[in-house]
Amino acid sequence: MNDTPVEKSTRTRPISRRRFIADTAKTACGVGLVGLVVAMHAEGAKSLPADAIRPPGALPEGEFLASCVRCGLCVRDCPYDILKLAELGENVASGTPYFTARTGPCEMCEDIPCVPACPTGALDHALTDITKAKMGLAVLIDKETCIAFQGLRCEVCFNICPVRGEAIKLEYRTNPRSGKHAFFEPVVYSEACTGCGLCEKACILDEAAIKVLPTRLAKGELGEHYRLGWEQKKEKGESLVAPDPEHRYNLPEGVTYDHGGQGLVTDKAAPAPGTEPPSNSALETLRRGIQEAK
Amino acid sequence: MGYSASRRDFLKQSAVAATASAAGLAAPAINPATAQSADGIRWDKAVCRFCGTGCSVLVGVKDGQVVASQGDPDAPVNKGLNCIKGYFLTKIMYGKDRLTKPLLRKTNGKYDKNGDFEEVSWDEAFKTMAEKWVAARKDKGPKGIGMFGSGQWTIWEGYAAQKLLKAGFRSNSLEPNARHCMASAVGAFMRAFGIDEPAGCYDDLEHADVFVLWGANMAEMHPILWSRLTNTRLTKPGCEVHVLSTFENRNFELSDNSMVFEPQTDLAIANYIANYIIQNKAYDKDFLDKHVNFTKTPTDIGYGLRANDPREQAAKNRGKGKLSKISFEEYAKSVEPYTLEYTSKLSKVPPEQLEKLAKAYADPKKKVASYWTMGFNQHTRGVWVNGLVYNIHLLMGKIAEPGNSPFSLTGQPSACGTAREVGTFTHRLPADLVVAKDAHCKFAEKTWQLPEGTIPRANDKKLGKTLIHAVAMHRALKDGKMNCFWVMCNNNLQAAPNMNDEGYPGWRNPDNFITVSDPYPTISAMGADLILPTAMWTEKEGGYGNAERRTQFWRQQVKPPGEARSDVWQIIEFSKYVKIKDVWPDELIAAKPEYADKTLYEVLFANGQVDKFPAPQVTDEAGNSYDNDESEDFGFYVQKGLFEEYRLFNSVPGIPKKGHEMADYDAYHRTRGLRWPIIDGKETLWRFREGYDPHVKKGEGVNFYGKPDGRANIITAPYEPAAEPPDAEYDLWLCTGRVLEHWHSGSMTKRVPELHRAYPDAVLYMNPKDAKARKLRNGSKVKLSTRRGEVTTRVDTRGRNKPPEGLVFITFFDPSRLVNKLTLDQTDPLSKETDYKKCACKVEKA
Amino acid sequence: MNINGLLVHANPERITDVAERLNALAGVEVHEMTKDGRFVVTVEDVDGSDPGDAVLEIHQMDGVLSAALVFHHREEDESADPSATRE
Repeated sequence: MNDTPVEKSTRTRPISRRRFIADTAKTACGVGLVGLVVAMHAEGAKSLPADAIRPPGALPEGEFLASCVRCGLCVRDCPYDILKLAELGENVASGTPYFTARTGPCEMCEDIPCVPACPTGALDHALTDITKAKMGLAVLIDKETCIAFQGLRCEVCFNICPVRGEAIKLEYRTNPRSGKHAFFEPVVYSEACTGCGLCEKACILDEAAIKVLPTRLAKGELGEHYRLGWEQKKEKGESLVAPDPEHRYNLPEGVTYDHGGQGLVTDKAAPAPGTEPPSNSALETLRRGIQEAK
Repeated sequence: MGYSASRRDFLKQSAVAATASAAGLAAPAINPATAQSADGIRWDKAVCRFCGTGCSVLVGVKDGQVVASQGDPDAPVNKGLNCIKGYFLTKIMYGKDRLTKPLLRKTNGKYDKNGDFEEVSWDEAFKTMAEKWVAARKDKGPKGIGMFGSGQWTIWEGYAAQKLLKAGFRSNSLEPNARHCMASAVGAFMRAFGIDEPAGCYDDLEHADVFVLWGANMAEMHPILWSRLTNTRLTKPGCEVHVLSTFENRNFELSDNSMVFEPQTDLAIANYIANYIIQNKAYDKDFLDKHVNFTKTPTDIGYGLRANDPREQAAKNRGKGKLSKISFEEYAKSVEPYTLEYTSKLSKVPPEQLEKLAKAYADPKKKVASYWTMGFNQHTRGVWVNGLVYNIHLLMGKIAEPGNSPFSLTGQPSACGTAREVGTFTHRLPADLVVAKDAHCKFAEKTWQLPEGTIPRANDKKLGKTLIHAVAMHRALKDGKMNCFWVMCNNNLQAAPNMNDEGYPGWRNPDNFITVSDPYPTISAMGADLILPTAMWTEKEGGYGNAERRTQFWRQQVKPPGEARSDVWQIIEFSKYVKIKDVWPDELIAAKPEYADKTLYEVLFANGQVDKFPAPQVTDEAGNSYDNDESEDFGFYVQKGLFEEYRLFNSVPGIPKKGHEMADYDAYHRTRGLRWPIIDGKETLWRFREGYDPHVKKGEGVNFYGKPDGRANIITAPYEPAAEPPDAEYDLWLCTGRVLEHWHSGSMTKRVPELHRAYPDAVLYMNPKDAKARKLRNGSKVKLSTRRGEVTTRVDTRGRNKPPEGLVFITFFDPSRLVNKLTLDQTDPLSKETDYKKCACKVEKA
Repeated sequence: MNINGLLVHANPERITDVAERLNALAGVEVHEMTKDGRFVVTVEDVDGSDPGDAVLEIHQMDGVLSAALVFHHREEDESADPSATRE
């Protein structure tokens, strides 16, 4: 881990033994110290700072650091110049490539030029579909400041997301305070999010409310022992366990019971305006209208 | 200023409020001196600077700067909400490159069109300009000069400009950028109803059962209204949303019936729906018998191109629009060809979807609100297609009542309040009066205390044909027929069509003198000869009228930078530099000899009416004081005087056209906007309907009083093809428009760093299959070109806008990608509005 | 700076003379008064007087049924100008 060359004494005239030992000791200490410092840096950098994102296809950090030869070819081949090599003293392992979402997010090139440029496979050549990259995970970190959660119309993160509709979806809710507007709330879906960071850059707040985090920080995990029943049923297309034979009930005239649904249905209440589909004939609709008015 | 109240007073007031609240009493009225919060910010109400929705905002001022804003929580339109552009209102005035001094092109101390910009005084600027204007008016007549104003002007700015041009310079060469925006809508209103602006209001968003968007990207362009529509869709059982567009956009996310149609075939679809209604006898016969006339309009009317264009020469009824009465049977026959199969084939919309839409309209129990904006208006048959949707609503009687609303959505914040209501168009005067009618001109002359004949008639006995619309103005500049041009509050060099052929050449024509008034150095400013630094938004006392007929005012909050001055100040000050003798013929002066030695200023503005009110001490209800720079300068209450004179056209007895009644000036400062017509102090929400509209008498039910017989017109209009569809070489449709993040030409929003970061470049939205076929992929650098020009940009195949194969879409806000080099100067021949949505282009790897 | 908000309940038949006597106290101001004997009162330090003394006096005043401290604010020094420079 130690990159600092050891300084060798270049004096030609003989030196005193005492002096030699003292100098060597000093140098060794010095080297040891520098080595320690660099090692400390490297150690610290093994846990990448949360806002430094590796290029697409990067192996897990430990393996990445072992494979990356700091050649800089990925940086050269990025057409948008968003990758940079870490300098000594930064919290990222020096010489390794990374980008910062807020100022230079990955533009998700279809041909992913950075990956084939990598000679050692630190960027895994098996990544051929950029939408399958997992550079990190976007998290809508602060609902208190995100203005969409206050009811304003923003959604620039959604607008700019290259896999919009899959990685970020908008969930609509009625706004009870205003009584007549809706909330358009951005929600991230981790399966489709690549961690490119375009959302973080676009966020119009002074401090982005949506940020790309390392996946290990961003994700929770459902217990291995538990399944979500409705998803299991959807996947299978039917109940995992044979559904009931039809239930029958004692009920008064005109009352039915919907076992899997709303339960007791007391009467055919008049449909709300528009719930009844218009008939194929406008005359029919008119007739219905007249009947209902009677 | 009133906001240096002591902390002690503030805390004392807090003590009172807390205690009163504990006692269950309402806190006593706030002591005027403590109306601001302890952080020293003074809050006052204003209107958002951006779209026609007209959200109300509160503006926070501290130390002479706008430091904060909020959506006004008490405003019915937006209830405290804003969109992302409104969120940044505090930043739009503080871009680093605000213009602060007049700049004139000079060489060696003298004006030179090829010289560099040098700072000059206002005096020198106006002296130079007046010389040029007087000469051009003398040599080339009324069309020798021209002014291009704005639907973002305040109400009195438009009114002052109108007086300057039509009464002062005796020229009808005044056009707003609303010509590129709402002119088709206006044309259709006048033909169908005889009076401008929608019958309904935003409350229809809560009352309708069905929403239909026709070529309107409401999700991005009227975001707060879309938020309301979305809420209704979420909460009302049975609510349906239908969206028609030439490409998939954000409205599709909510839509129950998303239809992508072949450009221009909206004409066919609307006719099909009418046909469906008639074939199924779903129409409201009673309503038709009582309230509707059937008419037809000439067809094959051309595309507003130059007369020597083969398409114009081939047009049988070039520019003709006179209506003639027909019978119901004739009308029914006119829509018969639009069967489901024919329409589906032509429009490429699957038949089930068209039918679903038709059924929603045809169901008498469903209340339908139709919304449209630029897809319908920036259309070579814009007036026709607007009318076709009125036809549908009229057939069903679905109009002028809560929830049943064909609603033309206005794009700009005051295209209604200023351009349309004041009438800052070549052919108009205030309150729907027109210069084509002698009686209307006489009324204006009387109101303005002018001799008869001052205002040029459309077809003037002495001056000839005096009308000239926006696109024609650019052509006239190019041809050297118009030599002076004053552009205010818009960026026409970037926004007008066909820049290379028809825009730029006129501006740089050595015979022409171009003045641009703007807060920032836009492309237009840089292409001008004289740049006048202009005050923005809350740097002046202003008023706007939004899309639902709501007029809202604001006070001056801060001072403009440097020597920047408001548009109204510039117009009035300029009028001091021109004498009546310079621009009126002797016969006219002879009719009012007392004007002989006066300047335009004295006749138009110091006329006893406009200068009626003394310079005010502007205060709000809390007792805070505000500046009013214009009034201070001229010595009278400029804005109030102009507005009250304007009200002589719409709010006093004996006016030629009723229906535009407004409240008095001070009322608008007290309230959060009022919807006209206002009779006996009461607003009108739905027009033409008994009980809602005081102009409709008891027992009438419905009265379309804009027409002499009280009946609205159903007007036939066939499908006719576009002017420049794709062909072998230029094989794609080019559609242009906006995105949520940016406003128009970006002069304001691009200077907000966050908005620029969120959306820095105009990218080309393209279908992935079309990209692949051209060996392109997402992000590829491309050259986008038409017969008229080219721009370079990147392809976006994954964007929020997903065009079908055969069409591409690009925004026009980016000054580094002047998209209007590519567009065609084609218009609806009736409305003279440019079609920015359809021309032929090609895309190649760059 | 020492500012207090007091909710005072007085005998409804004595409200006029209670109001007079409240206003006569140094640093005391009556802002609201209802017919059923409720008063919204502020007590502040004025010319070096101690609001504590005034509050005690109000408690013991003839005709006053109760006095509740609803709002209380104390600061070291009085900031003279709230319009501090904006960054």
